[in-house]
Amino acid sequence: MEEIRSDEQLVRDLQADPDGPAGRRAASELLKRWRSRVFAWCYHLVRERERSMELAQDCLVSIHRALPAFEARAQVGSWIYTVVRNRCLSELRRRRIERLDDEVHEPVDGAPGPDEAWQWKSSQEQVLQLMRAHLDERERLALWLRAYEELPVERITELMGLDSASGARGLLQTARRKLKAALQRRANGEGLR
Amino acid sequence: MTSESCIPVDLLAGAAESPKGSPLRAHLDDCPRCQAQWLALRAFVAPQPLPPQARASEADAELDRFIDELGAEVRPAPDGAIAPFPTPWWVRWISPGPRLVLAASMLAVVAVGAWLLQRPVTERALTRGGPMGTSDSGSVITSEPTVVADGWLLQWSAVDEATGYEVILLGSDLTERARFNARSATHMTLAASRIPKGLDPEQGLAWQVEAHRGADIVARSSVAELPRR
Repeated sequence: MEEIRSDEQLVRDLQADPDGPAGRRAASELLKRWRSRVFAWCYHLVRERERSMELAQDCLVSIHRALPAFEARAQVGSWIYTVVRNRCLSELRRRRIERLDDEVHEPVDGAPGPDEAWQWKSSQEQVLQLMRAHLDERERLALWLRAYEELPVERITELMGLDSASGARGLLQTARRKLKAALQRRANGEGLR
Repeated sequence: MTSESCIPVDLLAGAAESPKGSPLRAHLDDCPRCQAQWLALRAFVAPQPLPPQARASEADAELDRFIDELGAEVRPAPDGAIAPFPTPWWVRWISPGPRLVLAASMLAVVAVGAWLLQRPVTERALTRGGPMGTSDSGSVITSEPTVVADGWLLQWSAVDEATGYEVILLGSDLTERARFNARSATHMTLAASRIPKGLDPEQGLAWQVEAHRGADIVARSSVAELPRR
């Protein structure tokens, strides 16, 4: 009976013989081992089968290309997830930019400039502080999953194991209400115009 | 806690396994961003049920075929650059003497082609009947297509500002015969069944890729031969 190789072993086998038959077999086995999860993640995010299939194929191509240079500082699964997450988030951002393009009929550059990047970082810090001060642990987690991981509400409900009727939607509404009130108080307190 | 000190996603598993009270673990226990990413990572690794409309088992079969095709291609250089084109069969086949004659003839053809291209677009369209009036600015680099079971696997390099790509199929006279929308992907499997009627791949077809940003063409690859199957 053939021994089942770990992901890490498959990567080592591939790196030992990247363009030879053994390396190709190892790459193929590794990609087939992860392809369902890659597709499922893409599907959960974009909710369109054909687009999910294209995204999953893109992710597999990226993984296939990068495998020879993979450094084993992380688990293979974590690294694959990073590739898939980044690709999916970039697809979601691209769609938003396209929608903006349609709405304002002006080209929108996806890459933020230094000022925008600084403002984004600074506002992210403020949001983190507010979340910490005003939200409970579950609200913070739900809000982060929605706002920064861009997961759909029903998926957050599943991941967090919520069984109330409103699921993550209720948590998110409460979190947003609390944050809005905190921001309002802060604006009033600091005498902003 | 700052977002700057957040744990990279690929190190989250290690952080979660660290002993309680260690700096990494303490950060993870305290930071909603890292907790969210850790939860998402665990969800990715665990099997995820999909609704029936996702047709998951069909997707698995499709992706298996895709992976097989991917395994058959020439792997790009490790730095991510597109692999150089392999020597075409006809170059390997021709002996060194006639190669010089052939090279000289090809140079002459290229020179005539360059002369033709610098004529006004309308004049070219009249003589070639083709819609090739846009300038070839920017660069999309195509790889040698891979012949797969039901067609060709076409791949090209990404263009920074592009939001989508179209593959253009050209006849043996180099006029455009069909376009295929690859959306934002940098590869596409062109099924033989999608070749328009009346075009015979055995008679020599060519392809090129156009990169778009919205309705604008931002780059176009050079024309490459579609290998015979």
